[in-house]
Amino acid sequence: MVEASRPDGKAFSDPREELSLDAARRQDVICEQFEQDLRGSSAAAIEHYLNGTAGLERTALLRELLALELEYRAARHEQVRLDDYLTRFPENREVLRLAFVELAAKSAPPGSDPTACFTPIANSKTSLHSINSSAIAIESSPSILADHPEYRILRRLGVGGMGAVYLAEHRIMQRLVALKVIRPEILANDEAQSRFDREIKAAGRLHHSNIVTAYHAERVGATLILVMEYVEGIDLAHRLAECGPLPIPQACEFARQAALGLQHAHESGLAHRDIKPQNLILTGENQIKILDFGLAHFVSETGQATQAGTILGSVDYMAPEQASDAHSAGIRADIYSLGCTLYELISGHPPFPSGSLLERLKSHAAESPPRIESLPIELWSILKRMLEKDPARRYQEPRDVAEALKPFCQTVEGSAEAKRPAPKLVGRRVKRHRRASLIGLFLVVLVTAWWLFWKPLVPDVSPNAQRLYDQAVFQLSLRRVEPTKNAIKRLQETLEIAPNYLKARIALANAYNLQGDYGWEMPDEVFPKAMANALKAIEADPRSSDAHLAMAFAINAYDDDWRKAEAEYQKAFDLDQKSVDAHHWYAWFLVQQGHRDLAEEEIKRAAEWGASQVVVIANVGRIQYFAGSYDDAVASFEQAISLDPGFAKARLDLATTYVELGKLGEALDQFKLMRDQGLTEDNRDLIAARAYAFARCGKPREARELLTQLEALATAKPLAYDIATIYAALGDKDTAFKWLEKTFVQHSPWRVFVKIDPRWNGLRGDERFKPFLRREGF
Amino acid sequence: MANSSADASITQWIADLKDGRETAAQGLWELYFDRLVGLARTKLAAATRRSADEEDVALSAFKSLCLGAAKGRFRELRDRDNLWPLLVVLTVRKAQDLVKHERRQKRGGNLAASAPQPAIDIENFLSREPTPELSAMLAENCERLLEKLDPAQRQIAQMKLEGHANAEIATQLACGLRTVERRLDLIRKSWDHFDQQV
Repeated sequence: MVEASRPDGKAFSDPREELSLDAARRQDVICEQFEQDLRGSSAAAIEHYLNGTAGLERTALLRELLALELEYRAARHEQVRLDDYLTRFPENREVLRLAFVELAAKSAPPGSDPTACFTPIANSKTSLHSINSSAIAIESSPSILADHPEYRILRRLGVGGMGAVYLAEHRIMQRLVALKVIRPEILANDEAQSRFDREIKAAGRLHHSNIVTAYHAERVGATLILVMEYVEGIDLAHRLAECGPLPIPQACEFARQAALGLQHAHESGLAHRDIKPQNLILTGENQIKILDFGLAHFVSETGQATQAGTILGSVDYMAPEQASDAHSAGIRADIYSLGCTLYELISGHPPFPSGSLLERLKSHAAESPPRIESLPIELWSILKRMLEKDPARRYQEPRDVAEALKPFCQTVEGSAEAKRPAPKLVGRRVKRHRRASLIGLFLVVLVTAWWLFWKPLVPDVSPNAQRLYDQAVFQLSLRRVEPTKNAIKRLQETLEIAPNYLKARIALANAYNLQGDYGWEMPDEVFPKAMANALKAIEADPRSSDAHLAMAFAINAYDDDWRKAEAEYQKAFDLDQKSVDAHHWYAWFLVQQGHRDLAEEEIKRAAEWGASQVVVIANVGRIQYFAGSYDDAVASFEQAISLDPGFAKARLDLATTYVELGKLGEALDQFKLMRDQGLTEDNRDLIAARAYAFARCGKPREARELLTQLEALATAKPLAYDIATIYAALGDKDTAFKWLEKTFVQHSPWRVFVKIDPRWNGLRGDERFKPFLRREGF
Repeated sequence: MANSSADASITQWIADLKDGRETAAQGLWELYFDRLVGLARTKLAAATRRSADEEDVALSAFKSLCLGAAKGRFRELRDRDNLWPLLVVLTVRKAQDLVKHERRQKRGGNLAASAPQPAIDIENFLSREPTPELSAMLAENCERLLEKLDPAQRQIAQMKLEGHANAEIATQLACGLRTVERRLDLIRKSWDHFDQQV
C-alpha cells in the first residue's frame, strides 16, 4: 500500500502532543494500570483499556498502550507482528506502524544484537527499503538533507549497500517518500555517474502497480538522492523468516504479480537483475512491488557495492549466464531469479542453499534443482522451466510466466480487514461489560461524556486529588465489581482532599448508581447514597446538567416518583440540549412508560450524536426488543458486536432476542461464543440468560438446574427479577409472583420494566399481575 | 500572562530545541546553559559555606543542575525531553510579566494594560548573561512547579533535571521507557498549564 499522508498533514505528529492536559492525565492513569497488568502478566487486550475513548484521544491512547505492550513483549522476547495488530486496529495503520518503528529504534541501538528475536521482525515491517535491517538506529538526518527545501526528513529507514534510506515528507504536498542517499564513492567516476543517470532515468519511466515508483533523482553536492515511492509492507525475505514457506497458491500469486511488474519493465526495455525475496515487497493489500529497479541493474553492471553484500546475497537467485557475464543478463535472467524466488517461497530455501559461494554458483550452472515434493507436477514443470540453465529454454517473457502461474494462484484479495468498509458508526470499543443491566449501560455513556466534554469547573485541584479522580474514572469505565468498589474508595478520598470537586462528586453518585443498576449491591444500600451525592452536586452547581442527570437516574431507578424523575431529566436537557446521555437515558424513561416510538426516536438521536458509542447502539437494540421489533433488534446488537466483539452484554441481549424469535440454536451459539471468548468473568447474567432460554424452549430440567444456582446467589445479590422471569417462562406462576414481589420489596431498578418486558407476557392475563403495574403508577 | 505571539515564538523555540534543529537559538542556549550552571555552582558553594539549612529547598534545583553538569549528563542538550529549556522559558516569561506589571503600576492606568505586549525575543534574551536574580527566580520557579506534580511525576522530573537519560530513569523506576516519556510529556503540559494560570 502506498502510504498516503493524512489529509490534515499530521501523519507523523505524535498524537500525544495534541492532547489536552486533562486528557493526558487521564491517559496516564490508564497506561499506569495497563503497565501494572502487563507486569503481572494479567493485562487484558488493548481494546479493553481503550474503552470509551474516541477520536484523537483514542488514537493517542492506542499509541501509548501499544508502545508499552511492545516494549514489554520485546523484553520478554516474544514475537510481535504488525499484521496481528493491523487486523485488530485496521483504521490505525499509521499509529501501529509508528509504534513498530519506535520499537525497532529502541530495541536495536548501535552495537546491540540484531538477532534478538523481535528485532528483525519489527524491522522487517518498518524498514522496507533497508537491505541491512539491523542497521536501524536513531540518527539525525544527514547534514546534506537537513535543510532540503522540499523534503523534511522524518527518520532513517535503514542502510543498504548503496547508502542510507530515509523516510521523508514533502514539505508542501505532505506526501511521504523514501529518500535513498547514494554513497558518493559509488559514483566515484564520471562513467559510473553517467551510467547511473541513464539507469535511473529509465527506471523513472516505469509506472506499474507491481513496481515501486522512482519519482526523481537529484544531486546535492557530490551526493545523489533518489526519491521513491514510500511503500508500507514487508519484504518477502522477512515474511519467509517470520512465517516460513507460503501456501502454494499465495506463493504463485506473488510470483505472478512480480512477473507482471517485470513484463512492464521489459516492455520499456529494462531488466531488473536482482530479483530476490528481499526486493519484493508485500503490501498490506497483498500486492507485490518490485524494489530498486535501475539501481540493481546499475550495481550488477558496475560491480559496485559488493562490499556491502548486495551481490553476495544474490548468488542464490542468480541466473547462470548472469554469473558469468553480467552484461548478457536480460529479462530471462530475471525470470530465472524469479524462479529461484518462487522455489524459496514454496520450500523455504532457494534451489541450491548449501555450500560455498563458488559451489553454489556451480550448482546454478550445472545441477538440476531438487524436486519439491509437495508440488503438483504441472506446477513443478513451470518452475523447472523458469529455472532452465539455457535462457532460450526458459519462458521468453515474464507475461508467459504470469500466464502459466495463473491457474495455481490464489485469487487476489486484499486482506478482509483492509477492505472492510469503515463502519458507519466509528467504533468506540467497549470491552467486557461483565454484568450490565439494562439501564446501567447508560453509565458508560455518562462517564465517557465527562471524559470528552466536561471542562473542569474547579481549575486548580491538587495533583493528588486529580490523580485519584482520574484513576477512579478509569476504574468505573471497566464496569466490573471490584474496580467499581475501588473507584468509590478513591472518589471518597478525592472528596476528602477537595470537597468542592464537582466532577468527583457526580462520579461518586454515578458509581453508586452503577452498583445498584448492575445488581452488584442491594438497591437500598446504594441508591440513597447516589441521591445524596447528586443532591450535593446540584447544590454546589445548580447549572450542572450532569448533576441533574445523576439525580434523574437515581430517582428513575429507585424512587417511585415518575414526575420527579422527569423533572430532573428536563433540567438536564435545559442545561445541555445536546447531552447525548440525557437523550439516551430519557429514551429509557420513555420506553418504561410504554412510549416505544418516542423512545426509539430519542435513542436514535442519541446514537446519531454520540456517533461512536457502542453502548448506545446496543441500547437501540434493547429498545427495539422492548418494542417487539426483534429483527431490528438483532441487527442493532450485531452492529454493536461487530464494533466490539468482546461486548458481553450485547451478546446476551442478542441471545435473549433469539429466544423470543424461537431460535434456540442461535441463542445457544452466543452463549458458547461467550464462554469461548472468556466473557464469563461475572457469570450471573450468563446463567440467568441461559436459564431463561432453556425455560422458554421446553428444557425445564436444564433451566431448573441453573435456577438453583441463581437462587443460592440471590440471598446476597439482587437477582429476584431475573429469577421471576425464569419461573414465568417455566409456567410456574406462583413462584414467579413470589419472586416478582421480592423485586418490588428490594426496590430493584428493574421493576419499572414490568409494563414492557416481553418476558412477562405469559403472566399479563393473570389478575395477580395488575397490582404490580399499579404500584408503579402505570 | 504572555500574549499569544509570545507563546507562539516560545513554543516554536522549544519545538526547535526538541527537534534538535540547528537554529541560532540552539547555540545561544548552550552558551546560556553553561553560564547558568556556573552561576548555580557559585550559589551552591556559597550556601555550603554558610551551611544554612533553610535555603536547602530553594537550592535543590541548583543541586540538580550542578550534579547533572558535573557528571557531564547535559552534553546532549538536544535531548527532546530536557526540561531545563522549558523551565528557563517559563521563568523568563514570569520575569518579564513582573517587569510589565511594575511598569503598569507606575503608570497607574489601564491604558498600558491594553497596549499590545511585545513578544519575548528569545534569541535576544539568550544572548544576555543570566543574572543572579534570574537564577534565583529559576530555582524558586523550579520548586514551585515541582510542587504541582504528583509524586510519581515529581520523581521523574527531578531525575530529568539532574540530567538522567530516559532509559536510566526507566531502569531505576522499573517502568517502561514509554512511561517515562509519557510522564515527561505530562510534566511539560502541567507546567505550561500552571504557568498560564498564574
